[in-house]
Amino acid sequence: MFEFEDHHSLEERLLQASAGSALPLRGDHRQQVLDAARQARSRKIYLRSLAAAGVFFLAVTMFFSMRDSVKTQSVASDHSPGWSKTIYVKGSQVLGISTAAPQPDAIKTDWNSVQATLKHSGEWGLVDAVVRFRNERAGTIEQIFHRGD
Amino acid sequence: MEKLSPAKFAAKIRCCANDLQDHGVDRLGSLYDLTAQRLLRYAVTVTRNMSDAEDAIQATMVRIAMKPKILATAQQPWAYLLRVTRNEALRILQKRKPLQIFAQCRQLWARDSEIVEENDQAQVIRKALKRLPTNQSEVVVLKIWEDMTFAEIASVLDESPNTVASRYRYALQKLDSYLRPMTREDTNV
Repeated sequence: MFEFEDHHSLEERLLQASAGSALPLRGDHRQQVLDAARQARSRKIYLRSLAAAGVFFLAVTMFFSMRDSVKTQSVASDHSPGWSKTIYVKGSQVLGISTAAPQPDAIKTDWNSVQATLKHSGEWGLVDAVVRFRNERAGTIEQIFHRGD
Repeated sequence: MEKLSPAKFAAKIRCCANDLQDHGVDRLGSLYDLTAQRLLRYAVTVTRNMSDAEDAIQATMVRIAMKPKILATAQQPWAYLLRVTRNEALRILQKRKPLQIFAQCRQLWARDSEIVEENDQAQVIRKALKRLPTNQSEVVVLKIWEDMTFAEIASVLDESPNTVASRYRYALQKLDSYLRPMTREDTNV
């Protein structure tokens, strides 16, 4: 069984040896360490300035891209339902309203369009009359008109 | 190597770290002069190789030079320095793992053919320490040569104090068996 107290003399011996336990460092080791530390420091400064420049460049790019996006004019077209004229706006500021009159759509004269228009306006009586009129005659509306039926 | 009391030594290290923090890398020399020899003695125990130990010291010093505040504010600056050195030494060993097997073979061969010709007590003890497993020899170095408590050693090695204490016991047991025959020879002469 191991007895801890048995090793007092050994500990003493080890302690005495500590005086002669110093290992010699290489002569140029000190200078080498200092140079390495200086290099590491300058590398750190370089990386830090590189990162700062990167952040600055990113910020500038974002600033200009955002400014340009605000500058671009938006147009509300009168082709959209509910808009009678084209309105030019910049942000929330209205720059102007187009004076050009919107082109009226060509009148559709096929049976389906006529029926759809009548249905849309709720003229159900006229829808029935048109259906009957169509069934009694042959051809398109234009052909019936030209024939004089 | 000047032997300072642990408290004085810690205060000096803290002073050097503060100086390093205030005046920059140019003041690293004072910390190096104060600690390099003792760090080397410990690093050699971990690396078992002088050049790797010197590399570990260099890496430690560079790391401290980059962040001296951590050392300046550490509760136990010497234990912190030893821990950084140990980590750097282990990192170096990790990098050299593929080549390590050859080094180990060479060490084993050297151990077998090792004849202690010198009467120098320190040499004898250093060679006996080399024969111990690294985790035991570093505990002996820290306990006896660095005069640290088991709790402090545990904080350096990131182990429990009980583990450290048992490693120390086993190490002494082995050292006793290695050194006893030599002592007998000495007394017979």
